[in-house]
Amino acid sequence: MTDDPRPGSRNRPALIDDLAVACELEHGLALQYLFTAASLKDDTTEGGVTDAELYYVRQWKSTLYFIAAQEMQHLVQAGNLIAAAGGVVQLSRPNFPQESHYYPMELPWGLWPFSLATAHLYRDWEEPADRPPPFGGKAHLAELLHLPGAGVAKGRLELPHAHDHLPARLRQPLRARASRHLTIGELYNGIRQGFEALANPIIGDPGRQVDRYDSAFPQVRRIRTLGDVRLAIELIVEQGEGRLPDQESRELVDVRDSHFGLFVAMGREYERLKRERPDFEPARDVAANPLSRLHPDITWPYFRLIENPYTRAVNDLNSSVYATLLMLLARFFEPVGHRERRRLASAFLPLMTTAIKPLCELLTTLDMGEHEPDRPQKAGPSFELGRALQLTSNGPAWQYIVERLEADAAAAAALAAQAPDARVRDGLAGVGRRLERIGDGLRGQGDTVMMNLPPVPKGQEIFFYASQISLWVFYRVPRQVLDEAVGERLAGLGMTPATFRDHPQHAIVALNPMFYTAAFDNGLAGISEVEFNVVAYPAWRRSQVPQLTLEEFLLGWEQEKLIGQFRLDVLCDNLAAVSGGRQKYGEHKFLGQINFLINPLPNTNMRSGQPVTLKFEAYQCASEASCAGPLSEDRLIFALDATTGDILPADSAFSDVIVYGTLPPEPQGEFRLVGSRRNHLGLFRLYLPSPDRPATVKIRYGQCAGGPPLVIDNQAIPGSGAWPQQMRELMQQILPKGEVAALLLFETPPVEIEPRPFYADEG
Amino acid sequence: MSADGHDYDVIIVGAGIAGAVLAAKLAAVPGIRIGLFDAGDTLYLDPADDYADRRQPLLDRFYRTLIKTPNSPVPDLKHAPSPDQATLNKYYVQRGPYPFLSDYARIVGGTTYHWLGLVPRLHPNTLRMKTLYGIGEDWPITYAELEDWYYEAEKLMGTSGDDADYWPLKAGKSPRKHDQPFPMPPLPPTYSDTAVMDATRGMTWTDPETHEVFPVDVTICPAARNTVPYGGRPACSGSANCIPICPTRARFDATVPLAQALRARQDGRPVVDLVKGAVLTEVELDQAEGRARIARLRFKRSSSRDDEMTATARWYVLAMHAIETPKVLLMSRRQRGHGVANSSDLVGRYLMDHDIAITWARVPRPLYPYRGPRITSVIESLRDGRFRSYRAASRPELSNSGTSWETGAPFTDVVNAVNAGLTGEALRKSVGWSATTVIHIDAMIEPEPDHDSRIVPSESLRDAWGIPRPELRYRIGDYSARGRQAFFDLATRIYQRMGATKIQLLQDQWFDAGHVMGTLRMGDDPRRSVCDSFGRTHDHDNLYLAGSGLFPTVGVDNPTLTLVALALRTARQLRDLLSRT
Repeated sequence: MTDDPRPGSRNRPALIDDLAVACELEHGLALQYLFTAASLKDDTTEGGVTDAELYYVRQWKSTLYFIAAQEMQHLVQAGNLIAAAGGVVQLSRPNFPQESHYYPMELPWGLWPFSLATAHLYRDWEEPADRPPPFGGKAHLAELLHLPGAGVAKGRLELPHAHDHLPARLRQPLRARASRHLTIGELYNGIRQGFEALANPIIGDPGRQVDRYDSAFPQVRRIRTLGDVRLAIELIVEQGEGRLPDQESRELVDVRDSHFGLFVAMGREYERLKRERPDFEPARDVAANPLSRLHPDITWPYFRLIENPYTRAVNDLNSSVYATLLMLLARFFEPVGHRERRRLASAFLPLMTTAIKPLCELLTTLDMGEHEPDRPQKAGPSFELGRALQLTSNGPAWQYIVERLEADAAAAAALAAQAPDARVRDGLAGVGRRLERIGDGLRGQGDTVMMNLPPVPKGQEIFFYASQISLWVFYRVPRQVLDEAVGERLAGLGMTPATFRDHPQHAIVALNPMFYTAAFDNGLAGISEVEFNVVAYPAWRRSQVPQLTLEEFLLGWEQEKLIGQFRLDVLCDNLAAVSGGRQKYGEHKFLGQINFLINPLPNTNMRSGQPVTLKFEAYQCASEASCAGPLSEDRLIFALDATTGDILPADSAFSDVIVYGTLPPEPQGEFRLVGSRRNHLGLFRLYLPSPDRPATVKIRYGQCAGGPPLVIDNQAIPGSGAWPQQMRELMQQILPKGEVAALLLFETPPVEIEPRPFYADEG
Repeated sequence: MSADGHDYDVIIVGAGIAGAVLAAKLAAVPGIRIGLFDAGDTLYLDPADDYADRRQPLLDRFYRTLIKTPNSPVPDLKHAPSPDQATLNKYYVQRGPYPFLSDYARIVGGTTYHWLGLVPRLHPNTLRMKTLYGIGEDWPITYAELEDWYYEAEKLMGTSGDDADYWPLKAGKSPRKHDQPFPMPPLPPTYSDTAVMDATRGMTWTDPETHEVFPVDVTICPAARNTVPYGGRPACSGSANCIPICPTRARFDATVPLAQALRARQDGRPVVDLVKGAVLTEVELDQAEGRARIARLRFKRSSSRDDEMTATARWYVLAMHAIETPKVLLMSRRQRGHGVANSSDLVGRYLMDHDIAITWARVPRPLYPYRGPRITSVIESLRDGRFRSYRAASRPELSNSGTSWETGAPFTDVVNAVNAGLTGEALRKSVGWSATTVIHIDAMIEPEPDHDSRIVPSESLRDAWGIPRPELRYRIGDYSARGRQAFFDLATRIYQRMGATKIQLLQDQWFDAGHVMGTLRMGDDPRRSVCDSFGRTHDHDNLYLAGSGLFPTVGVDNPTLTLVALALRTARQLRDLLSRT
C-alpha cells in the first residue's frame, strides 16, 4: 500500500461512523449500477443498435448487474465489519439524488441512464486510491446533466439548494460524519487502520455476522480476527480498484477485472462504437433521477417527478419490494440459526433476480408522463425509502415480511390487470406470482424455531448408565492451534470454542476416557469409550454465555449450561453404543478396541488423597468382522498414561455435563446441531495441577492407518475406515501444543453394600 | 508454390489450446522467433485493436445454421474440412466396429471455441492404472509431479470451484494443495442440481462385485467459466451456450493465450508469426536411416490445392489434436515406411473418447431446466476404486438442459403436443409441464485403451485438396460396457429417491463427449510409447507432440485441463532448451 496521507478512523465511534458510510456507499452504488443496467437496450427492435453492437451492450448490461451484485456483497461484508466492531449494519440511506458533497469523495450521487459520462462517473467512483481523479465532480455534473434531452440548460448548475439562505460562514458542506477520503479505497484503508489501532477491536457477537456457508454471498468472510479484517478489506478494495503493480498482493484481482477496469473498458468500447457509427444509441430514453414523490432528505434539485400514475404505481411497487429485500438482509445480521439463514437466502436471491430486476427493466420502458419532446420520455426505478423501513428483529417480523410480500403480490396482480399492453401485463403478472411464491416459502418460519426435538425411537428417550468410572483430561491449547486444526469445521457447524477469563488466548480440549455399564435387551454390558472434545458453545448464544475462569467452569459454576463439549471424535468398543450415540446424540462415533485399567478400582478401599492412575489404550478394529484380535502398534491409535499424583482433589458439581454433536453425525449439506445433558448422579473430583503438585499425563501415538469401514445395520459407512487415523492425527496436531489444565474424576457410588460377614452358627 | 525458407526457432503447428499455450509461454524467451501455423484461414482477433476478440461472425454463423451442432459456428473450409456432427462422414472414413462420433474444429483457436469448460483434475490413480488395476499403461509422471502444473493451468484458464470440497478432501476428489485455492468462487448449483443434492443426501452405492461402498456426493464441478471478472473477461451471465460458442468469453478458450502470444513483442517486432491457411502435409527428416531429426515441414496453402510451402526451425511442435497429428505422422512415409516418430508402431493407436451413457426420468414436479451452463454439478465420489480392475469408472453429470440431447426437447414437446391436438393455453401448459418435469443424468464412461482402436490416413479417400482423410477404426470394449451398467444401476436408484415415474436408460445408444484422446501415447519406454512425458518423440530429438493424444489412460475426466498442464510443462522444458542453446 502506498503511504496513506489520511489518518485511520481515530476511535471506535469514528470507525463505526466510517463503516456506516462504507455501507451507504456500497448500497447506493449497487442501486445506481442497477438503474444504469436497466436503462440499456435488450434488442435491436428497440432501435439504435445493430446486432454487432448489441453484443457489447449485452456485455455492459451483465457487467453492470454483476458489479451491482458484488457491491451488495461488499455491503454485507461492511456489515460484518461493523458488527465485529460492535455496531449494527447500516441499511438506511438517503434517497436519490444528493448533492456531490454528501459523501467525502464529492462525486455526483444519483440514478443515471447509461452514457459515456455515466461510465466515466462510475470509473471515478472506483478510482484506485493512489491515483487522483482526472477531473473533479463538477465536470461530471456538466456531462451527466447535458445528456441528450436532459433539458437542463448550461449555466444552471449552481442552482440554489436548501441551505443557500444561510450566510456563507454557516453553510457547512452537507456531509456524512466520516473521515475525509478521496476514494473508497482510502476510506477502507482508514477503516483497516482504525481496527488495527484499537486495543480490543473485535467485540461484536460473531453470531450477528453473515457467513458464506449459509448465505447468498459466496465471498463474504466472518470477521473474527484482525487477519480477517485485512483479508476482507483487501478483497473489497481489489474488486473495486484491482491490484496495483507496486502492491504486495495475493494475486486477487487483476486491475482490468476490477470495477474500475471494467468501467474504463466500457467507456472505451462505447467511444469506439460511437465513433464507428454515430447513430449508435445503447440506452433507452430514460430520465435521470426519476421520483414518484418528493422526500425531505433530498438535497439536490435535479430530479424529475413521474407524472404518469400507472408508471408511478409500478415504481412504488418496486420500491416496496426493495424495502422488503432490505428487511430480509437485516435478518441475516440477526443471531439466527443456520437453517433460518438458508431459508433467508432462498428468499433473498429470487426477490432480487426474479422480482426487482424485471421490475427495473420494465420501468425503463414505461412513460414518465410528460410531453416535452426534448426530455427523456421513460422512467426508471427510484428505490425510494419512506419512513416505513423498520428493520425489526423480533419473531413477528416474519409475519410482517410475509404480509408485505402478500400485499406486493396483490398490487402486482392488480397492476397487471390494468396494464396498457400484453408485455407489461405478462411482466407484472409474473412478478406477482413470484412474490406470492417467495412469501409462501417464508410463511410459518417464525413458528418452527425451538418447537421440535430431534427424533428418538419410542421407548429410547432416555439412556440409563448403570455405573460409570471416568478420568477426563482437560488440555489448555493456544487458540490459534485449535483454529488451525478445527476452526473452519467448528465455524461451519455454528460452534464457538469457549475461552475463559484466566486464559483468554486459549481454548480447552478434553480427552475423556470412561468405562460404564448399561442394560440392553440382552443383559448388562460393560462398555469402554473415549471422547476427544472441544469445550465450546453454539455461536448464536454467545451473548448469554457467562464469563468464568476455567476452575469455576470445572467446579460446575456454569449454570446457564451453554458451555459444553463438542465431540470431535468418539471411539467405543460396543456396536450398540456406537449406533445409539450416532443416531440419537449426533456423535461422530466409531467402533474400536479399548483397554481400560484404572487404579484404584471404583468402590474399592479408596481413600482420600490416594492418587488415581489410568492406563488406557485405544485400537482400531482388526477387520470388518471383528474388533478383537492381537493388539499391535499398527492398530494403536493412542495410549494414555495418567495419574493425579499428589494433587488434592476438590469436590465439583460439574454435572449436568453438556455435550454437543450434529445430526447426521457427519454433517454435509443440511444438518442440525444437537445437544444433550448427561446427569451424573454424584460429585466429580477436580484435580488442578500446580508447579509443585503436577499431574503426570503421557500419550503415546500408534501407527494406525486406513482400517476397515464401520458397518452398521449391514451398511458400511464410506470413508469411515480412515476415522481412527484421522482421530490420531487430530490429537497429534493439537495436544502436543497444549498443557494439562485439569483432571476430572467421576465414579458411581456403590449401589449395594455388603459389609464383613458374621458367624451365623452357634459358635 | 510459395517461397520456401521460413526459418524459426520453433514451429508450432496448430493454433488450438495446446499450441496457443505453448506459443504464449515460449514468446517470453529472449530473441526467439516462433512460427505458429494453422489450417484455419481467419483470425477472429483484431490486430489493430490489441487483438481484441471479434467472434461476431462465428456467432452470426451459429444463429443462421438450421441444425445446431458443436461445429455450427465454425466455417467448413474446403482446404481443411472440420468433421461436423450433422455430416460427420463427409470427412471421416469410418471402418468400425463403432462409429466415432466426436468432432473437432479446424479454426485458428481450435476446438475450445466449442468446449463445455469443465476442468476436473484427473484422479491420481488414473495415472497408475496398470500398477493398481492391471489396465492400460501407467503414465510416465505422477499426480504429485503434475499437481503444480495443474494449478498453473487453473490460473491461466481462470477456474471457478469450491475449495470446501477439497479441504478436507471429499470422496473421489483429486487433492489440492492448501496454498492453491481456486482462483474464483464456484458457480452456484442450479435448481435441478439442488433437487438431486436433496435426494442423494446420505445416499451410498455399493459395487456389486467388490462390495466397495461409495457415498453419492453431488458437488459443483470445477469449470473454466468465470464467476467473477477474470483475465479481462466477464463473469458468466448464464447464456447456456458454452457449446457451441460462448458469446461473452466468460468461458475460457484458446483465444486467450493466442492473443497473449500474438501481442508479444521483442525489439518492437512481433515474436509470433501466425501463418494461417497452412495445412501440414508432411514432416520431412534429415536422413532416411538412423536417429534422424526433423528437417522441414511441408504445407499446402488455402489459396489453391497446388500452392505449397515449406518451413524450417530448430524445434518443431505438432499440436493438431489427436486425429490430424497422427494422420500427418503416418502420411510422412517418404523416408520411413512406417511414418515419422512411429518406430513403436503406436502412432494412431489407442484412439479413445469418453463414451457417454444417457439416462433420464420424469419427476412429479418441475425442475426448471434450460438455465445456466449445460452442466454445473457432477458426482465424482465414484471415480476410483478396486472395481476399476474389472469395469470402467464413470462420472455422472447432472444436465441443466433437460432431455434436449436425447429427445430434442423442448421442440419435440411442442411437436408432440400439437400432434395431440393441443393449441393455445392448453399447448403452453402442456409444453411447460412436459419440458420441465424431467431430470437427465448422463455419465462419461472410462474407456480401456485398445491397441486396435486407431486412426490411419485413408489409402484411397481424399479431401478436396487431395489430402488423405482420416480413417477411423474405433472400438468400445466390455470394460466400458460393464461400467455403463453400473452407472445405470446408480442412476436408477437416484431417480427412485426422487420419486421418478418413468425411468429411461438408453441401453443401446452411445453418445460422444467430443474428447478425442490417445493416438500419441507417452511413456518412458520407446517400444511402448511414441513420446516422453514432455511430448518429445523418442525417435526424433527435435520433434515434440502436444495435446490429449499423449494420454495413456484417460479416466472419466474432461481432458482440457490436463492437456494444458502438460503443455505448460512442455513449454518449460522447451524454454530451458532454447535458453541454453
